[in-house]
Amino acid sequence: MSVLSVSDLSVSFSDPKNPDTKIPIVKNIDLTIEPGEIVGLVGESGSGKSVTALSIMGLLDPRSALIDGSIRLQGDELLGHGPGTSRALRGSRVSMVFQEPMTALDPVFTVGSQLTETLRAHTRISAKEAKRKSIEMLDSVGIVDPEARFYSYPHELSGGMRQRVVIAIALLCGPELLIADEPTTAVDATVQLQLLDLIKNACEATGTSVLFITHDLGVVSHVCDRMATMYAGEIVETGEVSRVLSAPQHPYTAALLGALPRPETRGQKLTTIPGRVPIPGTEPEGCWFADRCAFVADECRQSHPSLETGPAGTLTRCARIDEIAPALAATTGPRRDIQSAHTTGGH
Amino acid sequence: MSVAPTAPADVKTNGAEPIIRARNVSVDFKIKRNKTVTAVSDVSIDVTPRSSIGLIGESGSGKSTLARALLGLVPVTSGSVEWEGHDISKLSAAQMRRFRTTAQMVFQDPHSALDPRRRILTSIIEPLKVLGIGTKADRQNRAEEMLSLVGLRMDQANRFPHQLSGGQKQRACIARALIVEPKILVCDESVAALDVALQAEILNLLSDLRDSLDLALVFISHDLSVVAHISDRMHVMYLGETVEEGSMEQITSAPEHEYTKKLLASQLTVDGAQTAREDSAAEAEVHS
Repeated sequence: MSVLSVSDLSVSFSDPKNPDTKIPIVKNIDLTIEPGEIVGLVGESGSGKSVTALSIMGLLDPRSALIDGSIRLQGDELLGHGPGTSRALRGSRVSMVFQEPMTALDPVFTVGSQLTETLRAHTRISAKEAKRKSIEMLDSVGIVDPEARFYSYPHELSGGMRQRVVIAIALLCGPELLIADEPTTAVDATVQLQLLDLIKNACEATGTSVLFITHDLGVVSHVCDRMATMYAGEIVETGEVSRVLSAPQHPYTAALLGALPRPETRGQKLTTIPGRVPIPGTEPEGCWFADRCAFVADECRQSHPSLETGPAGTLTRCARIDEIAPALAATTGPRRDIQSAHTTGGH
Repeated sequence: MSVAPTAPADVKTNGAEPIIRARNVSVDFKIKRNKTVTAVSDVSIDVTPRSSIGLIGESGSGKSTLARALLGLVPVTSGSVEWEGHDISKLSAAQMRRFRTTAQMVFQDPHSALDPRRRILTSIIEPLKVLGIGTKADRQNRAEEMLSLVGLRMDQANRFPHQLSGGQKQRACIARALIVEPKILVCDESVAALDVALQAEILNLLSDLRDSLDLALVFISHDLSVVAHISDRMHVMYLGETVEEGSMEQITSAPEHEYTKKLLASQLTVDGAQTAREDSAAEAEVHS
């Protein structure tokens, strides 16, 4: 059974100026995560990745957010309950690591008290045992001298150490699913690699599945097994990471790939994606990416494409996939020399 | 206008006379009564016209402090920063105003760099007002020129910062820095807060501006791929010191210092089959 099975998930928020209208932010998302799998959710700011994560986590305010569809954790439906039941259902089974470790930790409590608090909230455990387990966990996330750090305050730790503590808290109760929302954007490159390997190895050891949210395809390539590209609140491409990144079928994934600076693109223009993600509620007719797409044709404006299996075995939401995929393959190449149609060459 | 001192052999000037010449700069900060921390120690750097210098290092390595010292925003403890033969710590008020039109800075977080209660246009014009340049109409015209240069529309400039996206705000910050027609633009982690698509946009914009305005760029980042993309020369900083300095090709293909090697090994690539650890710089060379 899938650890997480999201089907037909839609989230809309009420317009602050006009409380009766609901603005759709996340639109009919289907997503499954198998045991032990790490799935990347990729997209620009405003593509709906964080809202998807928050709705799985049950952190959206029910007064402003309207959630439709189904989110099942090991078969248990998470939606449609009051806050108490909701918390009991998720409990220690889903946890989350946020982007900014300083704001995720409470500055006035020691690291130790924040670890034991989590443990004692979810399990019947003595204070002594909770301390022992917490120190063990600090040790396993690679914190040197965990007994001493147990009594440290967050400000006494470096950014990378703080994020390790946050990861320790998230993994403390042995969750079935870990949601990581851009956990390494605020840290240095060398620390980033350590943290990514930590998350990967710790989850592999405990069999925890991970939903990894990021806009960095380098991160996806390093840690994820499968990925889903989100655009304007829906999934436009999904499949195994090695397949999607070696031969993206959707122009949006290809453009994100081309936007990454790499050794081969030195002195050249990076691919940019003209325009912006459409403002929720104002998506154009037909394909929502059409206005920004380099391969747009008349048919793209006619009807909204559905997510279909393409020649590479990945799911892609593009009406012109049969024409575009070969063109993308020709420009992106199977490996590294990626240049897209927007690229104007070097100077 | 100044004597042409010969650069020491360890600093490469690419033949051109540097605009800013920093020699053996150290910056200490007092943290307690008898305790100081050395943020930058004994760094020499030349910023020559139209050069593109990358400063890379982890947080706390002193790259931002060095950049601030180059612009006279923090006092140096020892060593000197010279501009047109003058030590910038000893500039008169009038000279300082002129120096400010030579070198400008773009910060990391465009949102906190703009006054939330002012329209974008007002913020863009402000440097001219402060420096007393031009009439009101001149300033307005210059601001409009800058807007089109960075790709912002007039109606966007009449909005407040919270009404623009991160990339648009960063464009506004670049416009504000460029309005005094500087020769040097210092970008302190200017793309770190942006997602990949916007980052690509700003990097393209900066390299266009460098070429069209003959700017020298000092680009600070902890992201090697970004620095490598935009810079010709690179200073690798570690614990306040320049541990390695050279051309981008030289450093990425044959790193000498342990930290540089570690940094290169930490680069994530988008090659599904390959993990970053195995992806040494040498291998990247082979594939490209």
